[in-house]
Parts: sequence; structure tokens; C-alpha cells
Amino acid sequence: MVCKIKKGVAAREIKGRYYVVLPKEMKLVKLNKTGSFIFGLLSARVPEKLIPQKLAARYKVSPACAGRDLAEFIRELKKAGVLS
Amino acid sequence: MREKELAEITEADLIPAWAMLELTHRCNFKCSHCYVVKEKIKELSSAEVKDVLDQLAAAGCLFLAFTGGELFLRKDVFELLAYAVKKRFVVTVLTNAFLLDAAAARKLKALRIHEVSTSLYSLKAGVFDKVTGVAGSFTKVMGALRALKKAGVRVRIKTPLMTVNYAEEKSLAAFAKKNGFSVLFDPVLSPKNDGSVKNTGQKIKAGVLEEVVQRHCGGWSFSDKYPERNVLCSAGKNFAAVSPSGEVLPCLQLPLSAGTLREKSFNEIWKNSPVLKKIRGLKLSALKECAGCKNIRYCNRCPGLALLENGSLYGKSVSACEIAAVRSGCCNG
Repeated sequence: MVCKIKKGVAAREIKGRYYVVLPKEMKLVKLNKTGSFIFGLLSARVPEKLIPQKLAARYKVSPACAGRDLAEFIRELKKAGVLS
Repeated sequence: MREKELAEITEADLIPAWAMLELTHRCNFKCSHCYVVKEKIKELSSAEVKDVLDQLAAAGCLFLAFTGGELFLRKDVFELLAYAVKKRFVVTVLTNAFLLDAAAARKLKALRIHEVSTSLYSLKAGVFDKVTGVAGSFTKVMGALRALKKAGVRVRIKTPLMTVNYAEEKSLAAFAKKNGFSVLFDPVLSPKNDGSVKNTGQKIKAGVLEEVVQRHCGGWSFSDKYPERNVLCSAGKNFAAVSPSGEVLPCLQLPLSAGTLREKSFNEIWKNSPVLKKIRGLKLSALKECAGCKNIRYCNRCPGLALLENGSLYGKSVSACEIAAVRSGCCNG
């Protein structure tokens, strides 16, 4: 499955962190380092199922833990209208 | 709050997070107060504009305003706006709205344009048309505003307050509120970009300026912490502008070319331009007339206005001085 960043969502990576405008609230948020890493992968259209391995490797956590964190993050982004 | 944080980070690191892109200097209005100097130029092509957008995105630009002239005179405007949205900019459109009909408003909504900003000079057709120099412009613009509202597009009304319309501020604000538009009033009229002041004849005079500025007394907050921020600005630091022919400028209000994108990359100009280095190097201590001014905390000096009004980046801006004096009196009197 490929989680897609919705059309019209404004975002920019600045100094290693993503600044994203939440479409529903029109609010600018700054993602933390992990969030920015994931957002960068999503921007590059990396399939969701491949992200836990990349997260696990980068942050030295188990793929299962990375998968849980990713699911939570994606849920939040979908709720905010950022991902489809 | 995040915008403030972003502004601080990007200003310190010279990242152009905010930019304005003039698509054309052509215009279908003949506004008496317009600052644009119309010269024969070769506008950037669609492909060139897209390349500029790619470069701005790569440089870290997030907030992008398209302006003119009147940008809807360009046939490729929707293509360019769509490209900018695709590049994930926060896209604002500054237009006189004359050419916007219901279909255009729906297109802007579908494109997910962040905001359309337009000038509403008056709620009286006669006054409005006199300012724009175009008969029937009021009717067309009001129609466009209705269409934008119906399409669900966010609208900001910007009104320069002049001798002909300052008395309408309250009714314009009420109109904006009733329609869910945000509104911005500004009593400053910028001289033309060549320094000529022939467009400032409608500038409101001293006694009236006091009345206008005092209306906003309650809404101000001032800081003594960074007085230099009051009299210097972010132009050329985290703010960039690009002219219709691809000149990179620190700001549209500061018409000093830092280089042309037809010859060099944005990155090269942004990093190495002597013009930008000079602007960035401006320090409060160099502003002899401003450094010791008792009204500095109430001042919004614009270096571009200082240059256009007095011919010096280091000098005072008469407009800013007048407003700061009124604000000071308002807050201390």
C-alpha cells in the first residue's frame, strides 16, 4: 500500500525538518525528526510496508516497534487531512 | 507560533521561506497609486517560471505569492498555479479580480489555492472606478468576490487608505466581516519603483493620518527587545522576490536587482549577490537617523520605502516616521 500525501498539502523540508500546513485547520506544524524522516519517505512515494524497516535501521528499534509508531503517525496525518 | 519560529530560523540561515513572484507587469487597471513602472520586458515563459518554482522549492521556499501587474492576463496562469501547488508551496494569489468569474473561482478552489488577495478600494462604484481608472471595474470585482465566496475560496481584502476612501474603513471592515473575508488596511502609498512620487497624490495628509492610525491603537504590540527588527526587515534574508523577467530582488518594494535567473541559478544569486550581501549587512547603527529615534519602538520602517522616498537604504522613511510619531502619541498620550 502506498500512503499518498494529498494534493494541495503544502510542505517543505527546511534544515532537516518538515514544515507542513495542515489542510483542515490551515495551521503550520513542524514535524519532529522521526516524523520528518517518515514524511520524506512518503514524499518520495516509498511504500508504507517498507518504511518500518527503514525506521528500525535508522533509529535502532525493532521493526515491530517502528511499525506501531508508523501506524500511529499515519493515523494522525490522515486525521489531519494530510494523507489519503 | 510556528510561523514566527520558522521566520527566525530561516532569517538566521538565509533561507527564502517566503517569496513573491511577479508574473507580469501588464495590467488591465490604471490605478492612480500603482507603484509598478511598466517597461517593455520579455516575461519569463511558462517553462522558465516552472524552473524558477523548482529552484525556489529547492531553496526552501514554502510561502509563495503570485502577483503582477494583473497575473490573470497571462494565459498560462492556471497551469503555473497548478504547478506551484504540485510543488507543495502555500500559494497565495494577488489579483485585482477583474477577470475572475465563477468558473475561475471554482478552478482556484479545485487547485487548493491558499488565499486570493484583492484590493477593494471602496464600496462605492464611482470611487472604486475612479481609483482603478476603469469604468465598470467595481461591478466586476464585486461579482468576483461573490464568486470566490460561493466557491469557498479564502479571500483577503487589502485596502490602501487614501484621501478618497479613508472614511470608508469601517464599512469596508464590516463588509469583509459579513462575507468571511480577512481585511488589511494600509495608509502607506509606495512611490513608484523608479522613485517618482507622482502616484502618491491620494496619500492621506497629517491630520487625517492621525485619525486613521489611532483607529488601530488597541491592536498594537511593541517590543523593545529587537529594535533593529522594527527598522530593518527580512527582505533578502528569508524573503525573496522575482520580477516578470526573472530578476531576483530582495523584495518587490526594494527594486534592486541581485541578478537575473536567465543568466544564473537562484541559488548562485541568493548566495553570492553583492546586493543581497549589502542588504543583509544593514545594521541599526548604520541608520544614523533612526538609531537614536525616540519612536523606534513604534516604527515599521521599510528599507525599500526609505530608498524610494529618500534615495538611501540608510535613511529614514518619511511615511514610517509619520506613522511612528502618531503611534507614539497614541500610546503615550
